[in-house]
Amino acid sequence: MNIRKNIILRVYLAFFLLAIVAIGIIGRVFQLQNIQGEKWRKLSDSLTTKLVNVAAIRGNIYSSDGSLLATSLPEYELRFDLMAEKVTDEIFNSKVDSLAYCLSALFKDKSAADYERKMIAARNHKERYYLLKRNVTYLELKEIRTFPIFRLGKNKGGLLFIQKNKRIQPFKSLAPRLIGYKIDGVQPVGLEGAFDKELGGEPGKRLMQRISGGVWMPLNEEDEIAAKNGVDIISTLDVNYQDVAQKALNQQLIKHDAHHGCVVLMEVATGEIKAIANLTRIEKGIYKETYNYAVGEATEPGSTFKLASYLAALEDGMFDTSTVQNTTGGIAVFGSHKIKDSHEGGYGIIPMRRAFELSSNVAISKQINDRYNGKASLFINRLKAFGIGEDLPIEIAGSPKTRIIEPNTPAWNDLTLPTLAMGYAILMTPLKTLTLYNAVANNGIMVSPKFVRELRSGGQLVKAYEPIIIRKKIASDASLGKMRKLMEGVVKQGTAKNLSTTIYSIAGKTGTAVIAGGAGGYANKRYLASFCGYFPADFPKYSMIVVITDPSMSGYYGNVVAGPIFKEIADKVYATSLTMHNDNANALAVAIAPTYPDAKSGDKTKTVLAYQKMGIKAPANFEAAYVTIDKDENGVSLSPKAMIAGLVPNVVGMGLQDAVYLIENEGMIAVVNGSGKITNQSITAGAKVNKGSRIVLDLR
Amino acid sequence: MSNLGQNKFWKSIDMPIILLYIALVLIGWLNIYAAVFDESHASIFDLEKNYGKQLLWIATALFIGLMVLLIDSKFFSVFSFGIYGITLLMLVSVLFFGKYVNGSRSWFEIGSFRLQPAEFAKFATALVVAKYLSSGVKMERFSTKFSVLGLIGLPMGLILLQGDVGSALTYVAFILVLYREGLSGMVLVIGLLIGIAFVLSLLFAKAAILISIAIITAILLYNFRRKKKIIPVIIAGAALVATMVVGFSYVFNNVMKQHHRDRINNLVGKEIDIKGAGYNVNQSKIAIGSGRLIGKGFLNGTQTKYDFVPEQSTDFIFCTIGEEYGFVGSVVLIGLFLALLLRIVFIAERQRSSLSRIYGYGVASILFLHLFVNIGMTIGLVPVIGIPLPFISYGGSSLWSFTILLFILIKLDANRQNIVK
Repeated sequence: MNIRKNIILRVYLAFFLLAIVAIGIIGRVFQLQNIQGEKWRKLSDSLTTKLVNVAAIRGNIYSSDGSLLATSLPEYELRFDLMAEKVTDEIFNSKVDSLAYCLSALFKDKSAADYERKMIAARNHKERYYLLKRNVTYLELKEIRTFPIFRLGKNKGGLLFIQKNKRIQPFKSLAPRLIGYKIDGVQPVGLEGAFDKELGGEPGKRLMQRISGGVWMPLNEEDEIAAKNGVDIISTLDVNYQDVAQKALNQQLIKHDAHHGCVVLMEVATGEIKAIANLTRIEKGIYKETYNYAVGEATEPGSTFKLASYLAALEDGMFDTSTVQNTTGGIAVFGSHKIKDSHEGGYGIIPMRRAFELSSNVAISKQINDRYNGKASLFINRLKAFGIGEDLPIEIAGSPKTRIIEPNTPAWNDLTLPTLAMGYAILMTPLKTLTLYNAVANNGIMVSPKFVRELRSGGQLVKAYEPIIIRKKIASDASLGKMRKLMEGVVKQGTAKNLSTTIYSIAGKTGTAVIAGGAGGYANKRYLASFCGYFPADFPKYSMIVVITDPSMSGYYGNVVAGPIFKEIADKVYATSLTMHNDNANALAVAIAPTYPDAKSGDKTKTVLAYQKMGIKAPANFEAAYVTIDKDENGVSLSPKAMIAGLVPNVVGMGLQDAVYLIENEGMIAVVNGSGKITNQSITAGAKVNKGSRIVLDLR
Repeated sequence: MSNLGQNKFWKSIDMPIILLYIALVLIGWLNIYAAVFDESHASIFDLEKNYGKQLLWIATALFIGLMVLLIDSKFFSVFSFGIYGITLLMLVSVLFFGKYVNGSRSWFEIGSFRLQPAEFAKFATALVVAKYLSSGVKMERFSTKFSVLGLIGLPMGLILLQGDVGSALTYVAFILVLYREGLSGMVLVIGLLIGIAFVLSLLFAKAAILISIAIITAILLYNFRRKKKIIPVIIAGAALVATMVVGFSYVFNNVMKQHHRDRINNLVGKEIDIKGAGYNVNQSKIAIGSGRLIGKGFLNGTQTKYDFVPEQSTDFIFCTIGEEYGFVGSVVLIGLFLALLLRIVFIAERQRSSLSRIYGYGVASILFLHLFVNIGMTIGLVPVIGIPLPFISYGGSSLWSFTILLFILIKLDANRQNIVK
């Protein structure tokens, strides 16, 4: 009995164990499904579907005259769901060869057999997300949707596409640093960076579902939350001026084999930047925009800073333009240091007015040093009253602070005041120097430079950027008047005589600074040649600064190196800016174009108006939107340029702006080589337009 | 054979067991279909997919089962050592000629078929243990324990050598058989102690445990300081536990592979890593947890359909049931298994032959351990140990082996009137 009891006990124990385990398992399943169920279900939902961001279309950047400077083109990534509903074995097997043929014919990157083999392999692997092609354009996509199999329906035919936006700058080389870029992981640059939030818009949401193999596929055809597209930026840039500025800068940099240079053209009244060019030597003779020097590089300005010294002294009543000063043989000694004039032996005893025109270092440093003796902070405070030392409220980032040495600090010494007077012992950007000159030209109203005129969304104004006034009046009218006279004198009879024209007048100041560089200090003689000024001198419309760093050939003086750039740009701006013209426009036209002025083919109304203003007869008694210009010794004749919708326009002889407008109007994509006038177009005029096709324009 | 003989043959077969077997096998087949369902191969008979193949395995398993029933029951008794020997030979040769699958060298590859000898060693071991223990040996004797542990340990050790820790672990199930046959309850207690020491050594630092043991021992010694007889027992017990703690941490850190350590750490909550070692279990819990009361329905399990759970047609097949049939489905399945196990124990207890009885307990123990470990791992109760759910999981070797295991019992039971020695 005992053994029997023992055995029964053991059997019961076995049953008991079974029961415990069964209860344990059932309890646990219950816990998972009913007590924690919510948690696991949520996880299950979030694992099979998820919302992903759909990028908004980035806003465009336009020039002030409406040319497209930066835009986004949609591009698509094509995927093929080989297991899609309607892609049955029968359909796939019978149609795959014609689909392969169509794809091969469209992209021309792989043979039809190649496409077919790959698609069959993908089908055998049951791929639901097979990558067919990246970077497909919208027009290509439209065509692909009509291909065999794919035309069975959006998701059912197996064609999946993911939109990606590609940023392009239609005028590739125009002001690229100002337009800037925004790439993930890189410090954003220029307007793209500064207005990233506005341009970027708000991403939409799309519901994606996980399919076997761990890939995500869009669940629905439409996005769940539509993306809010970015706003457009209307910049202040003028494409034509920008083009002129870049070309002039490029030529002069090549000529002097300089390291780098920049040009900024600013509208006096508003502070709008009409052109900003920055070029760096890549190799001898080749320059590219790699850095925004005008905004981002603070250097010792050199003689262009004398404007500030003179204006301060005039305001403080320290000297007048007629005050005479001995240039003491072209050498002034301060402590153990000498300051020299560029003219060996100096200029003798001259009034301060003449010292400005000749850019005498000795005169101004002696005057400032003597007059402000013991009152250095008065001078510094006066400079600060001009806004010097303040940050400019500009849109784009990366501008270094102005560095100015304060009296009674360790950095201050006997040499600080006399050298500051001639533009050393201070670090400031070209844009800040220009802002000061602009204020003098603008009757003392200091406006900040600005790059953006307004924000628009779908053509509707979102925000207008009014001129920002930094100082209502930096100095008295008397002092400002005297300074303007001095700057006119520089061009008339001073260091920048080579810039004078009889048609309109330029006012400004040259600068030739020795650059302090590296271990050699000032000893290794690298120069900074600059010219800053405004035009027309009697009615200032634009101010401009040109700074060339380290010219190594054909001179280094500001008037020789920087001056001609200023003049070339000013000439072209003046010639094309009708509002500046008065009666002597005719004379200018003759002066800059000994024969009848050339013009690009283009808009009829504008062309006629231009010739009228120049007093040149250009009869155009016909109806046409665009004209071609023929000229000989006798005059100019205009003939209509035929533009027929649906046919490729003839854009040879046109400027880029008109040409791109016409071509893109026809739905084609313009690819631009070079700059200037269009000399050749890759698709013959009159051919039938194939929308979305590329047409290459060669410019010279 | 006469008509009468045929009738007698069928009448002597235990029908409830056969029915439970068929039900489980069919449930397995349907769930394999759901787990690897593929729209382009929608036919459940598609031989390219696991569900088509499983049908083949089921058909052959039924054939093998019938063969087993037709063989004279004396065969299993007489040739038990022979069968055992052959399987040992296979276990040895797989070490040299086997193919690596998932880090274990436990498969023979013959053409496109793969055979796992470790599966067949289960019934061979059950048979040989039954044969040995029914041969009149006394369980109390040390030599008996030593021999029977040797019989169990030999295949277990060979399987461990293959690197298949999961299959080796199933041999622990024989402890239950030995207990039923008179092994001291102390074995179970020691087993429990081993388990506790093992978990402790994972959860806490060795030093902390050893200090705790020392303190507890000191308190016990103080309390029982008058009872001289108990003092050696306390000291021996403390020494045993301490040795086990040290031993386990050595085994854990030096013998086990990283993926075992990860799985165990993950289970005891030491490292939560739902992308690494915890991935399977987490996905499995999601699948089961999202099943609710009655499940999402046949072929409607999203977790199942989109292949979130790895190994879902084999080791994680229970997820499919949990997701698509919910709590009700899970309870029904566990109920079926419970019924099967109870029926086996019932059958075992009605045997006059001790060989049949011991074998019956062997079958029940093996199935029980598989059930507990397999379902336990899918719901996060035990570490992930790659062993199949009997009759349900996809795989020819396991289905054949479990079928043979069960049908030998059915055959022995059919012959229970004739005492088999």
